[in-house]
Formats: sequence, structure tokens, C-alpha cells
Amino acid sequence: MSGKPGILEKLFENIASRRREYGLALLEVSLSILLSLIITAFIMILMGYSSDLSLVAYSVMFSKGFDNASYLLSRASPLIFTALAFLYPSLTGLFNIGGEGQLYVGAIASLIIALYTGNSLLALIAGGLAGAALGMLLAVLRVYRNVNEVVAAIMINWALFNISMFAIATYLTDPSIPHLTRQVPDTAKLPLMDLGFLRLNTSFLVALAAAIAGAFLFYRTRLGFAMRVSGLNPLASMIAGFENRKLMLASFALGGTMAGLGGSVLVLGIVHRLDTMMMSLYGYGFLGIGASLLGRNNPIGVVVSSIFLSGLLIGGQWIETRLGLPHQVADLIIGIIVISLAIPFAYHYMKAVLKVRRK
Amino acid sequence: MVKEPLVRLENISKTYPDGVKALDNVSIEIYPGEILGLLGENGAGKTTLMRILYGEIKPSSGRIYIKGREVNLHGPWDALKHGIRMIYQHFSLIDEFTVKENMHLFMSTIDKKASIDETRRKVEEVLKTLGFQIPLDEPVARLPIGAQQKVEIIKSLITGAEILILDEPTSVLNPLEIEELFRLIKKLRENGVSVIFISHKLREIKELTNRVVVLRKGRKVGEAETANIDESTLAKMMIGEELPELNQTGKTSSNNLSREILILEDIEVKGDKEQSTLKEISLRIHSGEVVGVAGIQGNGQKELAETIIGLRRPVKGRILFENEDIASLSVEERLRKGISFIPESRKIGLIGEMDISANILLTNHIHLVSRFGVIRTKELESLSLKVIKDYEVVAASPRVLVKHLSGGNQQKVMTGRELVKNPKLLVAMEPTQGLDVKSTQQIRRLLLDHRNKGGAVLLISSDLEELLTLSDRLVIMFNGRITAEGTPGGLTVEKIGLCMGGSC
Amino acid sequence: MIPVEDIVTLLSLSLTSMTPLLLASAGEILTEKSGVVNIGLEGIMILSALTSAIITHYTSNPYLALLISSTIGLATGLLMGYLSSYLHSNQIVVGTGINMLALGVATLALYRLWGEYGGSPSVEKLADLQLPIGNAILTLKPISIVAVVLAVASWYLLEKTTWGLRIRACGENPHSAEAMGVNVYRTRLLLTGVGGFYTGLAGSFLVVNWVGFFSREMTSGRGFVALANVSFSNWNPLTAIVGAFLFGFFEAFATWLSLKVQQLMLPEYLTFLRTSGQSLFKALPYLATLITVVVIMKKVKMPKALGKPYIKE
Repeated sequence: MSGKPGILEKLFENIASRRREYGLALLEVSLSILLSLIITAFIMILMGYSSDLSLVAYSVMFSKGFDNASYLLSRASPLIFTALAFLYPSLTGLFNIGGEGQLYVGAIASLIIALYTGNSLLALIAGGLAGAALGMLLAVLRVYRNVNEVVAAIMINWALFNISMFAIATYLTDPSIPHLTRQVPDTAKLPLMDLGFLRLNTSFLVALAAAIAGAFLFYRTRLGFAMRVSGLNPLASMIAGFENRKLMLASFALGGTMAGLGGSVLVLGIVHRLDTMMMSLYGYGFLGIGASLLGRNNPIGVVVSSIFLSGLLIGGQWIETRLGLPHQVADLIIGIIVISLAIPFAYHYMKAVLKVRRK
Repeated sequence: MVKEPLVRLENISKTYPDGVKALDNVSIEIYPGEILGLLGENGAGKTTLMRILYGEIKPSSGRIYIKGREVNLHGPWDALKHGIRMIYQHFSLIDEFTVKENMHLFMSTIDKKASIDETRRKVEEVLKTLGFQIPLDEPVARLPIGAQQKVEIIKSLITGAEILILDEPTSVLNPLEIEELFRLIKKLRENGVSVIFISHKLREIKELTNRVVVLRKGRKVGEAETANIDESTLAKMMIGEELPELNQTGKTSSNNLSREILILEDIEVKGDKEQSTLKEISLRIHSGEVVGVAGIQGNGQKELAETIIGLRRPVKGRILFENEDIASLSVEERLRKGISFIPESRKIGLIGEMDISANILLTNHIHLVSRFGVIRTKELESLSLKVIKDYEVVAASPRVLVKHLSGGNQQKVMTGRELVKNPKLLVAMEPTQGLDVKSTQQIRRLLLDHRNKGGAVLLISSDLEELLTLSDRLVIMFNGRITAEGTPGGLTVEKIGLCMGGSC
Repeated sequence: MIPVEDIVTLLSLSLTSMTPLLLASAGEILTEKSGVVNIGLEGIMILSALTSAIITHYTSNPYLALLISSTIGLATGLLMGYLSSYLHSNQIVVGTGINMLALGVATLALYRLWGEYGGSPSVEKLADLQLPIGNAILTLKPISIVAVVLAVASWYLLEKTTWGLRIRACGENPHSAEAMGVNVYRTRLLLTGVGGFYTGLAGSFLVVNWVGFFSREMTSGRGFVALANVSFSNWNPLTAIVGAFLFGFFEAFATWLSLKVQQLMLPEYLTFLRTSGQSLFKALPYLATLITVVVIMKKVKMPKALGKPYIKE
């Protein structure tokens, strides 16, 4: 009977297939990173920098960037959040590029609540709610007015960028230092936890908790399951009895909450005040998209990739201090990583998107 | 004076890589200025044959002669150059553009130098010749389907089509539009254009065509002048002279336990197309019985299933499940009540990227979830193992991704996950499509077992043999209505064929 | 009440501000009509502005700079088009990557060439046209005229020619377009390139016809305002002229106002207009677009297949 040997083969194949998928992901990621390092070095040589400068720069970047573990982890926290802000809706098959704006409102809401109540928990909640509200706005526009969520998100991001700048400069500034806001009171700051070998910022713990909670939601609860199903196959979702519209709303609310919390931890745990040029806030949303891609659509992967990208960014600052080379080298590297990852990413995302989309 | 055929298809066969033989040595001829009917059931091979003529598929063997010369078609554009065009049920039009713009878009591919005014003139010429009117400056989206179809047809004519292949063109039209289409087709013939009319509707074949060719299971089984043949004969040719052997193993006699599980009264539901819109459907299903629904795909069977499970709402009529009105219940609520569904396509029913246990969870989540919405993974695991074992799914573990399973095993997962719930009513669509003999037997046995245990099954299938083998009662659907009802033993082949073709 | 000189100044400033927006919008309209959304416009502008500064600095030839920068824009657009079209990449992600990349390249180049982080030295500019109006002089920049001409030409191409019909088909229903014989992949590739060319021109304008040097902040979100203008103008290049002028006016008005309010006496609650109020003006284009899109989304003629990868079967 031809069945028996076939079963044995399938046994090995099935065990290996999962491992193959993870191995493939790791390979893709490593290749993208390698590729971007090479291309960046090439671009630098093209500009006339000496050929070994890039190698020196890389060694500084990788050694110093990942040096200070507690600084690294706290810097990574807002990025973890904005990455989750993109990831969670993407698991539902949706695109949340409004993370940037959701972060801004989260940061400002947290700052205000912190200034007025001195309570970090309330401030965190405020940040999360603000982000959630903005996320829901995108979802409502999409579901009920059929507005393209990408166009809407870009408009909202940039409108909020300027409005936030206005709000910060007009209402929140420190009278003695006009280009900075008032500082978050000490009672509202997110504390550092001393673990002996490591001084861990609570922000990182909050971010880690969000990632783990999200993983639990998506892979262990019915709601998360329904969201994933809705993203992969909207028709099957209907047959299973799930309501795609409600899932869309929930998923954008979740994504918005993540970005909002990202703004909160940034304000409460890291910078403790905002500047009128929005320098401390700008860019986290977009970087979050990159971190999500690099993390291969997996909450724990996202934590790792956020730490990695933060390390690159910190390393970039060190390059500037040590070598005088602009820290934008890191931006360049990350930009190329993002582009090169967009291609294989497309295949997985696309297959789901190409089925009938729900209104 | 013998007329030379415009097109000759000689000994065309087509076998697909997976071994399915779609066409077996079919030869037909098409003469200028005639309307040829191509009649057959689902899977008879009619569309495949025409797609070969249109250059979309390459035959495994056989030749094509156009105007006496042998040709090798590499694609639809080749066929177009020879004056052949095929029009499908879904049109390739740009809804936002006007009629004129759609025509010009197509025209500009064939004749790069044509100006939009030239195109307009050509269109008006053709319309005048045929005696029809279409508003040229109206966006296509605002036109009724019948008019859109005319746009597609005119599009072919202005680019010089001499042979028009229409694939089930009346499936999307209402009766008035069908009449208009027929007038148009007859006008085309008067002007020297040949039309190949693919259909399963006997009355239309009889009314419209000059000649008719009948295909069954990939072979040509009949050819005649339409005037010389009647609908009964055509019906018999279409579904075959011999009735498949009745083979109901282990049939329990209808008994005192039997009660009415599902009652549909005068149901009216909007369908995807006109011909699949349900009209005045009344049906009763009892526990412990298999009710088979026969009919060519697209005549409302899908809509019927979707109405029962809750994906469509009836505009009129009542649905009672165990004497309770369920018309306002959601899909999930109906799942809770004990209604299960096996959809007609594995693409809809399964998620390839997820593993077997996730797919089982898909329709079993109602009883595998704790109060807070957390999935009971241990119970899911044991349920998955049970399904794999009981329904003989060939897979190493529940962790295997469904896309890595063979079609047969995927079907077993889809069937097993419903049967394991012991549903009161199982709506099964095409449960054995595309499966090998062994898997087919397994699934049929499972359905009968379910029936024997007291469950009710609504079996929707385009495989007549399957229906006759498994059903206790049979209904036939055509054009959104039930045209016949009876037992497999009590319906003759002729009657079945006629009712499937709309002539009873 | 407002003196003529002020009106003329305002007009000049508005026309100048309008120009890069109009160019980028018109280009992006062409791109989006074919079905691709390019949010890397900001990045293309940065790259072309940088290139213009470099070339003009070394060759003293602003015309050459215009040409080469536009070609850089074309090349970047083609890259984007290739990735989106043939490789089915996610358009948003690629656009985001280009923006990140451009900033990195620009800063690195600045530092390498001039040891500066902020900006390049001044370079030669194109001469402006001076038109007297009454006592005042209206400054009209030559590229502004080019921008309007290109916008009108784009409109004509899209609405009145057969090519335009085929382009629009790709953006509405690529499957039907392909069935009717249009090469969707190639069309999208080309149009994204053309859009990049226009945007390259816009970036170049910033340096050789306006400010006169390159600075990292000079694009300040203009690429995104252009995206807003595309939706705001309902994907019509003619309306885009109006939209670009409007948004350019906001920018000019804010600048003009910031000067004026220094001179006027303002009540207490309005003093923020001198400083932080500027940001509110900057927010206007996005809010205006959002409201427009939300309120009249049903009537907005967005190309139906915009942003979705098309895969030939």
C-alpha cells in the first residue's frame, strides 16, 4: 500500500515545516540587515568618505549602541508600542499608519494628566484612551464613510503634528525655559527598578506587558482568533459567525491604544517633558512600522526588533559623538532595511488582502 | 452547395496535470451565420472547450482550423485576430467609464491610431445595423446588466468579431432582458456573425439555436438540428440514459422519531444574479433524512444554503427551525442552535495559513471557549485529535497547516469538524467535489451515518449520482425555484433532466 | 484697508509657495490615477533639492541642476514603481522607507561636502520675473509658470487623450484594463516615474528658484501637503492648481502675518499668533483635506484600485 511510507515522509515534513518558516523569517531578516549595511557603506564610499570609515562606524554603532542595557531597553519601549500599534491591526488585515498621530495625543494627554494629578497610572490610562479614540476615528471613517484609512491617517498625523506643536507651545511651556514644557512631577514619573545587575525602567516592563498581553489575546482568546481569521479570510470569518465590522473597530482601537501608551511612556518614563519642536516625539510612528516588519508580525519578535533598531539609533548617536559623522547613518540603514523587507512582506500580506474586503 | 465551416475543432482532448480529463476527443464545426447551442451539465466540458477555442487553454491533443487553415492559438489576442471573442458571465468593463470610453479603450489596443471619434462612429454604425440603442455617454455602472452585456457584445463587433462565444449569458438577466438578448443574437446572425450559445437551459436552446451539440462528462454525446429534436431527448442526452445504481446502505426506515427540523415557507431572497434569486421557496426537512437539492450551479442553491445559515436575510417568507422563527438570528446564534454548514469551496470554508486545530476551532468556538473568552486549548487539542482519528485525516498532528493537506483531507477536516458536533441540521454543499474515489466514499458514508443517528442533512450537489445514492427525498432547483420534488426512485431520468433544464 | 504693496507681496509669496506643491501634486495625481500611491514624495524632494544644491555649487549652472535633479526624481519614482508594480511590494512601506532613506542620505552628504549639519552654502539661482503693478512689484518665478503649464498638460493627457484613458483604466479596474489589453505593470511603472520627475522638479525649485541653498528642514512636510492636495482636488490637476494656490496662500499668509503682528498691538489672548499660532496655519491644509474627504467621500472620485497591489492571473 502506497500510504504508509507517505505518512512517514509527511511526519518529518510537518515537523520541519514550522521550523522552516521560522528559519526562513530569520534568514530574510538577516539578509535585509546585511544588505542594508552593505548598501549604506557603498553609498558612503560614493559620497567620498574613506572606505574604512563605514567599518569603523559600524563597529562603534554595534559596540556602543547595545552597551548600556537599561538605557537601551527604556529607549526601546516607545518603539515597541508603536510597533505593536502597527502590528495588531495588521494581524487583522488592516493598515494603521496613524501611529504617529496617536502617539502625539497619547503623549500630550499623559503630560496634561500628570501635571494636574501627579499620578502616573492615571496619566498612562489617559494616554492609552487618547490613542484609542484616535484609532477608533480611523476605523469609523473606514467602516461607515468608506474613507481610505491611509489617506485619513496621513492627514490626521500631519494635522496633529502641527496642532500638537501649537498646543505645546501655547499652553504647556515652562515659563523659565520657553522651548520646553513643564516637567512631569516626580510622583507621576515612571520609576526605575533596581535589579542589581540591571536598572530597568518601568516603561520597558509596561511595553513588554503589552506585547505579552497582545500575544495572549491574539493566540489564546476567541476575540484575537476572530481578528486573525477576519484578516486572513473575511468570508470564512462570516461563516464562523464573526462580525467583521466590529472586529475592525476593535482592532484599530487596540492599535491606537498601543501608540497612545507609547507616547505616555515616552513622556512619563524617558523624557519627562516635551519640546516645542516635537523633536522627542517625531518619527516613532514610522519607525514602529519598520520595527513591526522586522519583527516578522510576531509580538515577541517585535520586542526583539525594537530593541535592535533602538540599538542602531543609539549607536548612531555615538557615531556622531565619537566620529563626528551625522547620526542619520542609522536612519539610512533603517530606511534600506524597511524597503528590502517590504518585498517579501508583501507576499504574506497580499494573499490575505486579495480576498473580498469587508465594508 | 456545401457551406465551408468557419471553425473546425478536431479531436480535442484536455487532461489536466492532476489527472482530471476535462475533454475526450470532441470534434465540432461552426458554420458562418448560425447560432450553435452547446448544452451540458456542470463539468461537462462546455466552457473548457470554448476556452480552448478562445486561446485561453491549450488542448492536450487535437487541432483547430479556422477558415480551413490550422492555427495555434497562444492567447485570447490571437483568437481576436481571427475574429473570435468570448464573453463571460462577469464582464471586463470599467464601471466608472462611459460606454464610449470602454469601447475606445478596447479599440485602442487593437488599432493604436484610432481616435475616440472614429470609435464613436463605428459604434453608432453597428448599433444602427442591429437596430439597438445604448446611451454612449452614460457610465457603465449606471446601466442595467442587460445593457452592460450589450456593451460587451458591441465591443466585440467593432473590433471585427465573426464568432461570438456567449457563456451562460442569460444567468444574469431578467426575462425582459433575455428577450432583448435573443433579438440581438438573431440580428447578429442575420448580419453574418456566428454565435455559440453555452447553456444548460433547454427552453432557451430550443428557442434560439439552429443546431445543438450536447456534451456529457467531456464527451460529445449528441448533435442535431434544433428543429428536429425535442427537449426530452436533449434532457436525456444531457444527464445520461442510464440511472446510476441506487445504493443506500444501512438505510433506516423513517420512524416515529422523525420530526420537522426545518421549515421554509414562501421564501424570497435576493441572489447574486437574477437567476439565483430565490422565489417562493417552500421546503420541509425532517430529522433522520437526507434531502438532496439537484440543479445546475448558479440556480439559487448557494443562496438557499446561505439563507438557512444566516448569511442572507429573506425579503419575504418564514424560516422555522424546530418550530422557532430564526429569521432574525445571526450566524453565530444559529450555530448555537445546531445548524452546521459545509460551504461549497474550500477557499471559503478553510484558512490555509492556519493549522488543523485552528480550522476546527473556526466552527466549534462556541463550546470551546471559557466565560472570559479564553480558548480551552486542551479541549481543542483533544477534539482535533478526535476529528483526525474518526474521519481518517492523513496528517501528522493538528499542528499541520491546512494548506499542506491534500484536497481530500481538507474536505475531511471541513466535514469532520461539523459532524463531530452532531448537528441537528447539516447543510452540505458539494461535499465530495474534486475528490478521489476512496475519499468520496468515506465522506458519503459519514453523511449516511449522521443521518442514521437522527441528524438531518440538506445535501446540495451538482453530482447527480451522489444525490440519487444518498437522498431520501430530492428537490430540483431551476432559476431560483423548486421545479420538482420527489424520491430518487420516483423520478425518471427524463423528468430530472427536464426540471434541471427548466422545462417542467 | 490693506495696502496694495502688501497684497502684491502676499500674491508673490503665494505663487512661490504654490509652485512646489503644484508640481508634486500634479505628478502624484498622474501616479495615483494609474493606481499607485507614492508617499515617498517628501523623500524625493529632499534628494532632488540636495542634488540641485550640489550641482549648482560645482557647475554654477542652475539649469543643469534642474535637469539632473528631475532625473533623480524620475529614477526614484521608477524604483518605487518597479517595487510596487512588478514585485507587488506594499506601497506605503516602500514610500516610508524612501523618506527615511532620503533624510539619511541628505545629512550624510551635507556633512561630507561641507562639514555642516544644517545646510549648504548659497548657490546661484534662476532669475525671477519682475512685473510692476501699481507701485508694487509682483515677483513671478519662471518655474511657477512651468508648474501651471505642466498641470494643465497633465489634465489634458488624462482627460482628453487615449493614453490618459488607458492610464485611468489601470487605476480603476486593473483586471478589466489588462483584459482590454493595457499593460498595467508597465503603465504603473512609467507613471510613478513621471510623478517622481515632477516632484524632483519641485525639490529643485526650492533650491535654485527660491531659497538659494539646501537645508535639511526645507521641505518641511511639503511632500505630505502635496498628498493632501491630491485628495483635496479630487484627483484633478486643474483643481490642484487652485488647491496648491490655496495652501500656498496659507503658508504665505502665516509668514506675512508673523511679520505684521510684530508691528500691531494685539490683545492678550491673541499674542500666541506671533509664535505658536504659525503651527495652526500649517495644520490647515490637512484639516481641510480631511474634512473634504470625509464629507464628500461618496462623491470623491478616488481611483478605485488605488494602493492595492495588482497581480496578474
